[in-house]
Amino acid sequence: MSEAARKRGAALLAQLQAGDAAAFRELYEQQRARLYTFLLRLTRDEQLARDLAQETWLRLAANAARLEPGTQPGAWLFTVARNLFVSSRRFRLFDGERLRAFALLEPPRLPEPLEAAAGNELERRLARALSSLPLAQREVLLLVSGEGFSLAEVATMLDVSEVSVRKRLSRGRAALRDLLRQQESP
Amino acid sequence: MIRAPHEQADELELAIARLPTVDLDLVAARAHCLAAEQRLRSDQRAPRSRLERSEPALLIAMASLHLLWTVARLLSP
Repeated sequence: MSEAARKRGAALLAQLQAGDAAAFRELYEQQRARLYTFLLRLTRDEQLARDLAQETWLRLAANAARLEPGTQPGAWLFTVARNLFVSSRRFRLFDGERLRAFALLEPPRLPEPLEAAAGNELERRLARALSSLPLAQREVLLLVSGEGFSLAEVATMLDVSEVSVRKRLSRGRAALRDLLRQQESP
Repeated sequence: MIRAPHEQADELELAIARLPTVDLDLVAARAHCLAAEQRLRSDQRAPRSRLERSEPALLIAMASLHLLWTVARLLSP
């Protein structure tokens, strides 16, 4: 993140804490699509992604006044969105993510909006491969490669060590390459 | 953002970064934003709790009285 973006984030936070609705709208316009796409790639479920996106924004509105100075609203939003998804899985009787980890289910289909948004076959294949990765690798690749957060930032977001993030990233890259190779060879 | 050499993005990661974003439809987006803005405003208007409204001096006085009362009880036969 650039220094200018960091400063703007700090200014937006101060405005939000004063209850400034215009600052909220600015942040919403800036992050809305990115956050929804992240949730769509994370959950692979259009309705769940939509619900979690709404809940994330409501959480920001409810907690803005209590956020620590220096909090970056963007990173905070992605952390909350990811944590809400993890919590939502805990209360599900049927968790496709776990069953897929044991190869008990077919790889998931790419949600329709992501299929439609892919500009060419290469992007579609990459999006499908990314969607097939286990959650631990998928979320790290989405946050580091997709959103440009640093390893240290992602470690804080996921509440794990930086070494763990690096390992997941490395495994994720390797798994993604394997999946793409498999797609190439019929 | 400047990354350390071991954090440098490779071609695959650049391709991930370039994947297109998807947006909510405008009706849903507007509804989300309005609901959150309302929450932001109501949070600002919500009356503060009795403790938050209390003057610190009053709290200190009450704590001192409580302490005196406790000591008096301990010393009484």
